[in-house]
Amino acid sequence: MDGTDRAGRVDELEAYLEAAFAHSEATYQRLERELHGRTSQRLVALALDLRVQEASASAGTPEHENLTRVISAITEMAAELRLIEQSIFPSILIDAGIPAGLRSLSRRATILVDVHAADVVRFPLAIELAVFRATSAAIDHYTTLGARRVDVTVAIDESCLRLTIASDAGAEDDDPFGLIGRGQIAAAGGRTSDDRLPDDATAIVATFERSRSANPANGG
Amino acid sequence: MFCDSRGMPARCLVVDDNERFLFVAQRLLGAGEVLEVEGATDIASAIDVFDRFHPDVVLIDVSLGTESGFGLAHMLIERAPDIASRIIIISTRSGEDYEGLIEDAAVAGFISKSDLSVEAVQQLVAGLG
Repeated sequence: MDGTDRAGRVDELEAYLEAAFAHSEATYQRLERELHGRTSQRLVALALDLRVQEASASAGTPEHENLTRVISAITEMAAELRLIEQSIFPSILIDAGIPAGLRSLSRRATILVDVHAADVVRFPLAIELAVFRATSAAIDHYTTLGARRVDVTVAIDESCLRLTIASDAGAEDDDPFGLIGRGQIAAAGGRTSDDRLPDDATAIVATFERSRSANPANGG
Repeated sequence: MFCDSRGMPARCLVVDDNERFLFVAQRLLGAGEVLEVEGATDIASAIDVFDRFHPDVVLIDVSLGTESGFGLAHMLIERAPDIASRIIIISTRSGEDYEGLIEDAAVAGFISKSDLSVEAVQQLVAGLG
């Protein structure tokens, strides 16, 4: 295989990688939408429907108590289903972009996750998903290592988005994004590197060029 | 009492692409005859109802199929700036996820669909009429 063949093969493999992530994210998005639209919404509507009946039943009667119990169970099921939906696909990215997506990860984390992403504008969905998935993988990684704190910073300049993640449990040979996270970053046209912070700690960085955005997989 | 200055029920527009939820929400909010409720399932029909019905309060789902509920909120505010403080965003998802967008849109607030009630609407939009 000469240099031209090798370059062509690399391009082909990159295209496969990009298509594989776009396909899997589109599948996750469809599943989440179906669960949300068909099941979650129906459960919530059913609970509201029963609340109308509950309001017309006399308080303290067995009928009222039964309705209250069933409504509570359905509401609990709907809440559990929402958590499953969130774990399948982060629809918050579609609605509100990276800052809201990362804040949702922070709220669900079991350790302190400080997010700095205030002025981040919209990027193609493939990049937003890579940022979200890689950050989620890093939070899981550092949580497993026993970290107490993770700092997530997203900075934008004219052409680039730069995701920096630092933790009080990081080590130099760490791989917080993992193979899948790095693969998704690469498929979205990004690259990863280590960064030396002022206090001599190491942070992991993912950089995306807006003009090199991969298949956006934007589904609305 | 959640009525306008003439003692009439306040007008409420609910916009949601899920027809089953829309039907139940209209029934729930209209049950006490303190709200007169109309519904719409997309942006075009919501604007039609808005122009004809002149609602006192508008409840909008975050996601209207492929359309954005926040997009609709901005359109309504452009047509009638006073409506901003009487627009409520609704969703089955967590309101915390949408804090930034709700702040930016300067609307009245958020109600989880599971918690929807006349009282919840009253808490966010007081003093109608």
